[in-house]
Amino acid sequence: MNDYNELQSRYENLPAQQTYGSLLGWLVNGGLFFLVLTFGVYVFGFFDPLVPKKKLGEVWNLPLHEFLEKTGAPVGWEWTALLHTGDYLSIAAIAFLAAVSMVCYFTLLPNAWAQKNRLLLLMVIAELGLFVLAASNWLAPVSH
Amino acid sequence: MRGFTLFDFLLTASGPEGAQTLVWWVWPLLLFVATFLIGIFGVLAGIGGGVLFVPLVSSFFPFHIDFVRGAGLFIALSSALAAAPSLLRANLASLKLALPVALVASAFSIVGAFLGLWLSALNPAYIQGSLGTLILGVVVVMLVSKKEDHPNIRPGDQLAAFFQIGGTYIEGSTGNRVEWTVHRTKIGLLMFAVVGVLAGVFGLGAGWANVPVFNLVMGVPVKVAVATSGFVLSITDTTAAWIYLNKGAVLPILVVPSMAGIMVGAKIGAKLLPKSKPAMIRKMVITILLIAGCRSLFKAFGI
Repeated sequence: MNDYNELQSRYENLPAQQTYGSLLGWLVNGGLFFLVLTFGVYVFGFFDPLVPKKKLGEVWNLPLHEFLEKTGAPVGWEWTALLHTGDYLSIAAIAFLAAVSMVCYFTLLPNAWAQKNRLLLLMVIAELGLFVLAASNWLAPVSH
Repeated sequence: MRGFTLFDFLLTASGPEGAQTLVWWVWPLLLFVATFLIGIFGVLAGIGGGVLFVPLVSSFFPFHIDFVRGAGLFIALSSALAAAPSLLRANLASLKLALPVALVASAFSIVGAFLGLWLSALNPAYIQGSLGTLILGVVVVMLVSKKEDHPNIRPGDQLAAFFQIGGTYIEGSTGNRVEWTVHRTKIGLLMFAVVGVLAGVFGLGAGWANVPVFNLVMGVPVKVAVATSGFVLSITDTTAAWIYLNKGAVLPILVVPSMAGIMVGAKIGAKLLPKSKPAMIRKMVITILLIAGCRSLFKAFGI
């Protein structure tokens, strides 16, 4: 009977799945709109880019470290200081899309807490930790 | 070392002086057209666009492979993000299955992203060569793997019980309620660690690997396997994408037209899907991957 109950609870989908799906849908649609808008600003030259568009052909075939040296392009979160440039305004929209899963993961926390589902809570916190680790650029020295 | 690209062709065709100024906007446009076609074929062949994008664009476009891998991750991420909401709401993508798998795969995708950038800094040929080998491996997977709609599960998998992996969905073709769980969870999670590394190193969406591991190894019904694979990519690729973003390896001029092209192409592909001949499309994609894989290998050896 215990095995039966365990299997039945295993077959139940997490209620948080619906909330996660709906929120993700809103954020992704908003993110894509933001992306198209900022790319339009960049391509049609409303804001001057950091790397002039006509020079791109000279640098996009370079290895990353040479590209960074030659263009003075930012690493880590330095791009946030360049939001007045067309190319890095587009990066903001790209970064937003890279952040939507993090926002959705946060919504799982209260649900796991309310259900007293410690395993779910641990997995969500661990994944959020990985997101923060990757996004924070704290790992940058590892690669040097 | 770089070989002959479309870029060289345009340079030759437009003369030495005018080419640099002429072509900056031509490349995003060509990229949009290429990714539009990749989007269509990706859907029709049942594979993600990322696996076609990286070898084809790094072989035939002038961009350095560092930027192509960054763009590859973002197009895989955006396709996965666009599809995930409706799949989650339909209970085809499973949060319970995705959470442990994504945790393992995204931890290893961070390792993979650093490994890829490090190898590329040592010598881009290492990445080109291993990418070529991997793409030929994908061809083998596509040729030999079979799918099972509802695999038989051996009960008693302790990890599946521990993680409470399972779910229920309504089978659209019959209206039946299907309950499912998994087996061989330990082997599955180990395989997802490898898949995570590969996604990080090469900037590939790893749907081509996720689906067979879910379906053939863990015994997930094929519809849930395909849907959850896409959802897992939306999490795994997020971590790897941040590494590339922080390293400065993301160029909007590559990423945005590619994302737009692949998403529009995927929508058209989904509309064409009912009328398409899957076997023929699959053969075409396998041929394209074979060419792209060989081209990457040749590039690595400077041929």
